[in-house]
Amino acid sequence: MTDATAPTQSDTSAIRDFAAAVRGQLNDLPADDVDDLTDGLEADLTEQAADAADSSPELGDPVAYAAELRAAADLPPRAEPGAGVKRESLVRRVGTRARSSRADAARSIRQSPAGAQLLDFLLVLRPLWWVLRGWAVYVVANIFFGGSFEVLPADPIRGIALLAFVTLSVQWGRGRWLPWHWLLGFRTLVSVCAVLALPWLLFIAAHEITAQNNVNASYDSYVTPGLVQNGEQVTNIFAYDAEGQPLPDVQLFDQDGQPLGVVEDPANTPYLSQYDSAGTEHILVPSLLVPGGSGWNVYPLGQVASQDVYPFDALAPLGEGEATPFPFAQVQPLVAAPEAGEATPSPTPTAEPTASATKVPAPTPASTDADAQQ
Amino acid sequence: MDTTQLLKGVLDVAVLAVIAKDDGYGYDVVRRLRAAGLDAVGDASVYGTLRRLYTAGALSTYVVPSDGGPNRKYYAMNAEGRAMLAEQRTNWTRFASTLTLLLDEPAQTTHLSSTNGDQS
Repeated sequence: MTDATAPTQSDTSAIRDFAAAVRGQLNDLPADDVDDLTDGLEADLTEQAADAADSSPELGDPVAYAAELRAAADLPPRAEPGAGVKRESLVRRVGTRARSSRADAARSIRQSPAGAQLLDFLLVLRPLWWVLRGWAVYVVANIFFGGSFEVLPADPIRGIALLAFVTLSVQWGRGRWLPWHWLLGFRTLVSVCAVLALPWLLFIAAHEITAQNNVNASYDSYVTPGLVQNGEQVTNIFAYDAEGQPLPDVQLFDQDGQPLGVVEDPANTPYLSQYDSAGTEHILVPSLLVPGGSGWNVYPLGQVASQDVYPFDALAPLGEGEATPFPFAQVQPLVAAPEAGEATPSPTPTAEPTASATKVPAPTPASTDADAQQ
Repeated sequence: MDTTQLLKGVLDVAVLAVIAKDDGYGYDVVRRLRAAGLDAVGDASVYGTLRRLYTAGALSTYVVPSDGGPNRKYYAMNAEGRAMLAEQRTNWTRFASTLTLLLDEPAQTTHLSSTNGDQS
């Protein structure tokens, strides 16, 4: 070679080739390690070549050079791929690389106290991941073989399947039930698939559970306000005394001593709109005999004409409702107790008249209007 | 004696000592080690050692742009590196004096054994 201090073109290309060969010898290591080791290798070699300009630069054997780098850096020697195990060595190399980069990551995380604590915390959560992995496999298998997405099994057979998957996953997580070496790779494959599938599965599951809860919630929250009989709203009550005569202004209370009202919020309800079977609107108002508009438990409720209410004027004297006509002028008077006691063994004779009596008086409502109005 | 084998054991402390004097990049450290008399030091060994010491936390690095060439990664000491150097310096001094003592004795032993040899 020439004794020029600057490296010649052939030197530069030789150095580039040499550095590439060294990197090739290190390619089984994580990329970060290779970068750390060979960053600036060309520059260093070029400078060395310039220093040794008087003699011809000796680059030497890239394999030996790489081995020296490894040994000094405390990195494992290169696993030479044998003649017949080329295919396996690729898999093993990927595995080794994954393991070493995982170890590197763990080491770098553990360098900070917070990272170490986080890692310890996540390690405790590992069983949860095993269970989730089993569940994910079950759900995916169920989609393929059962054809439907189910968060939890619908029948005992599927329940057993879920239990089996979860048990297997947990055992694999504990390093058990792995009789063949290839199962380790299979476990990794399943884990990768589960990690990829879990966000979607959990998203769909959360969606389904929310939808189900909404159905339940809307079912639960749908409570008909006021009084209900057989699902129909009760808007007014008519009381008759023992003689079968109509009773105006009856105060009713429930089992807890609460006023029995037909509206949900008596204090803030000025009136109640009601349609009869003919479609005519009736406006019911609370009794004025109880001050403060809380006379909603005094029956029968009075009513006003709808034109008095619309357009609604808060100042209008809504209270002056007229008495609501009773449905029956009078009903069957109650029979005396001893007679009823005698009659109960043979219910037919007494039941018949009572039943008919309650229905018979219907045709005479008009005459009682006057009575009810006092 | 194979000095490369000896060098292996003391390369860490040698590299730390060089960098303790002044920050340096890869080949710069090699050059200073060779200038100090360690001619046999292999550059790959030094680069690997630098990397290992950096991974162990004894060295920190920074990049210096160089005019007309690629950026240079400089290595510098940190507290951990200084502590490591101090410890290894003590170890070396103790080891060296022990070995020096040990190597002084064989002269007498040789003398005795040679007389024994003469007798037999």
